[in-house]
Amino acid sequence: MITPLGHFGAMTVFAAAASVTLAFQSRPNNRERMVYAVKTFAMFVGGAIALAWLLYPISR
Amino acid sequence: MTSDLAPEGSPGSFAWGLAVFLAGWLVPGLGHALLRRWSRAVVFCLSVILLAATGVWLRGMIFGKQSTDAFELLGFLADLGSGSLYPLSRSLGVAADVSRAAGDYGTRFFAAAGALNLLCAFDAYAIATGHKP
Repeated sequence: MITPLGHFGAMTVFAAAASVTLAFQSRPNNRERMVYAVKTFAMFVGGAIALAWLLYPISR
Repeated sequence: MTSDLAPEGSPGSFAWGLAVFLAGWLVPGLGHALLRRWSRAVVFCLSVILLAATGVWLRGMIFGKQSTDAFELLGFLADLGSGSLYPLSRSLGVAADVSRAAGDYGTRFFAAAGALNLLCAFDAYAIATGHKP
């Protein structure tokens, strides 16, 4: 393990903090905030996993 | 003729917005707390502190003002965005270790905390001046 959190753990902490903060900044009520936060979190994590697989062939 | 500009220092004025911005920048969440937006204040405070604390824990680089290139200057400005957490983190004296991935991640975490805190301070300014409900 390269970081105490692990690569995925570090990414998850960052994605969670950033998505919740952005949701509270950009949406007026709790229901919309929750939907926005979940979508943003999924895009952060899903985007990173997709990019990792895209770069996998040239990493070897 | 009446003016639609708020009096100096009253809610809605530029001076009030600036005061709220500075409070929010110095102490994460304080700007929204002054506006009685309690849920936002708590969430912003916890998020920024979580990111900054993780950055220090991972032994990330916290840039000083004596930057030698543009990237270090940008890093310094981003770090400075975390307000009072910046001098606090520097005073802890945790040696940065960017020779490992953890330290590199830590550098980004602290910079992200600063950038998010600035966004929150601008959000508080927009609410205080009536540009945002």
